[in-house]
Amino acid sequence: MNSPTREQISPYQMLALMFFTRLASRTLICPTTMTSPPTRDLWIADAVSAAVAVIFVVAVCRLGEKYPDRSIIQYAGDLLGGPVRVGIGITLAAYFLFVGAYSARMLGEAFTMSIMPHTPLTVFIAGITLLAANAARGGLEIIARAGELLFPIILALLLLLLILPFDQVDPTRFLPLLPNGLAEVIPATTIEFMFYLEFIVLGLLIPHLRAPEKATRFAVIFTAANGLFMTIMCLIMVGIFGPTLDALGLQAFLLARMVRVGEFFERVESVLLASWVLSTGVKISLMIWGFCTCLQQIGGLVRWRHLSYPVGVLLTASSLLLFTDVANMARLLAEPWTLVSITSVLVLTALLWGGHILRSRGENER
Amino acid sequence: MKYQIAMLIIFVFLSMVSVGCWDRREIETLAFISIVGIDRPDAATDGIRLSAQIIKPFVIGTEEPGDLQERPFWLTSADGRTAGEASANLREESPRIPFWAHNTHVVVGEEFAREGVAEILGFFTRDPETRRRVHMLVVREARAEQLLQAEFELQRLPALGLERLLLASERFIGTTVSSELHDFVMALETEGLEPAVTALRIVDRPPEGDIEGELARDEVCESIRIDGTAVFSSDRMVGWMDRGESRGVAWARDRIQSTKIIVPHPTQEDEAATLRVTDAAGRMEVEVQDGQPSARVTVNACADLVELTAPADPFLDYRKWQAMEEDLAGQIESEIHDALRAAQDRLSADVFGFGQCLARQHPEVWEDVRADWSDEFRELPVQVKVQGEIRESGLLMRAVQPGREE
Repeated sequence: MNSPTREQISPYQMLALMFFTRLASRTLICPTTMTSPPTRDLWIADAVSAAVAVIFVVAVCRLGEKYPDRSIIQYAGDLLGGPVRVGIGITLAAYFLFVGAYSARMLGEAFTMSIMPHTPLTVFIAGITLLAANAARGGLEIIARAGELLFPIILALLLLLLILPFDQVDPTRFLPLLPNGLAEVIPATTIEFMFYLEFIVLGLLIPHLRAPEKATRFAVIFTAANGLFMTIMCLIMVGIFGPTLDALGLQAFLLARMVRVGEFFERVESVLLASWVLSTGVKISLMIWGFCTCLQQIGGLVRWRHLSYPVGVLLTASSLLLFTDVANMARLLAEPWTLVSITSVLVLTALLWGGHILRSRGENER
Repeated sequence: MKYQIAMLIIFVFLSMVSVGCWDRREIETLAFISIVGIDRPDAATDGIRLSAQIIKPFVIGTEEPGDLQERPFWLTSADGRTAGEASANLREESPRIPFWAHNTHVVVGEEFAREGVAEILGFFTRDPETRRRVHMLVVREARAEQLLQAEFELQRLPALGLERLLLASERFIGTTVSSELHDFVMALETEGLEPAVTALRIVDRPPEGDIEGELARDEVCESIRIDGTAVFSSDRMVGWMDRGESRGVAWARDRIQSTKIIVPHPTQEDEAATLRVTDAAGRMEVEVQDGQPSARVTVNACADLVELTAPADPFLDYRKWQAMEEDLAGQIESEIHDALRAAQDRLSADVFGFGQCLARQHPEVWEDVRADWSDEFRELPVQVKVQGEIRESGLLMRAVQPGREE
């Protein structure tokens, strides 16, 4: 109907976008450790959350496949009526804004904590948001192409960062495994799962997919692969940092700092910094695009692109004002935000499925 | 077109503000710290004395003969209530900004180490400029600032010399338990494992008088030697392990890459054979019987014969060869027993990590003994089993024998 719906992306581009969405939140500041489970079992939280996320992704994609030309907001209106459509649109817009805001803040905090302590946060946040808003203004295809281009490069660099410090992994640090049962890792699993809910953006992406009928297959394979990647990364971190893992503010950064090959190949953390900027940039642009698309579809706007810069400004302001400091952000994400996002996204998905089932029954009865 | 121009202006502006104006540091304004020493300012004062060897790049980068006489580092120190304050106070004397990213060693004076090093760990692990992969070292019977005065004859930069000394020790001798700051912190936080770090000693080399001749001698009066291991209980140093004891710990913890072992000569009393261990694998296990833990150390070592102080052809007689293999195993076993005695009786510190093994292999038993592990460890029965194998005999197929042709 409008310019966004005419844009098309390939399944591979969708995978790249999902990769950056998840990567940015997992390799920056990790609030999961704030739940203080035995750190040696954190990798189980990664694995279990990915498994649960597969179910969530199937729920979102299957629904999308049933309405291949409609976004999540549009078929919410078809299924549940106009007011619910507006409600869901506003909820999703707020969700994308918040996700974009904490992603930008995480990047800013990570740079301030790691290499540039004197540079004001605003510079990082405003800088990355401006670039992201500019990309979002170009449309989904631009973001997707950027993701497609960067995906193999960043994946290769990250794999390198995981392989190089492998010699320092002590497998005995994983023992004893779950001494007090699985219940101990539930809080950490919940937080990790909360980040997977960002895949709700698939509800907006599927109508743009060249082959929407394959959305579920690709999304499931990728969510599982993503979960495997994150679990391996966590295993390596546990194997290297052991009981001190929960004390580390920037785990992936410190992991990169552990790289030393042949007494000469070291100080490769700049690779990670580059991947942070690129992956967070793609993620924020996707969130800005998501926010604009929500507004467009709620308000029935003909054009949405002019919204991207104002949304970028709003996102920058939210990023700076919503959190007082890094500890406050981690606490906010670990506790209230986990509860709010899980509740709202799952309720929203359940509502849509309920509407779809009722409608299908009605059609069958007719 | 207007849009492109606007974007160009924005990106030029961004590129100007994003290069790190606030954190901009030109290389010529930095003072590269290469080794740092930690002591108390004096016996009666609390606080930290932070001594630092700062590299003089203008001396290193020159090939003028006269400049070779100049020390390539500047030794300075500053006091503070905390390491962070002392670090900041370095700036009172240093016209350049102290830069920690290239620091390679944290040397702690014995007195300070005995009082506990926990108070400095926060600075070295929290500050983004410092790195966890620096070597942690303790000076025997001296202050760290004294050690920082020492130099090497063959290496102008002490940091580089020390780095190579530690590398050689780890790869070819194995008579110390080397530890990076990361390992130290890990051991400190791990239940049932006490930290151990390399011990250094200052070696006095008084001048032997003026040397006449054309070559100017840059005399090194004090040098550095690796001298065993400093053993900690929690963050406090509790004593030393000598070379043999340190190697005993290294055998058990699978830290030996290569080393040389002296065993009795296969045929003659009072003579010896030198073996070079080329491959060694150590393993520690803890078993529990009737609620009582006991430990087992298993080591498999492969060695080459590199020297016989008297002629003999042990490879012609398999029994003699076998006897040497048994001697190799016996020697390793004896070093492990020495280390165990030192750790259990003299130091009461589980530097082997038997407690850690117990916690991982039998967590339910560990729960019962963790509170009194230091006492339990003293009484822990440890069985040592070593297998030695000699594979090669160097370039000789028989020993050199004086007057053999006659």
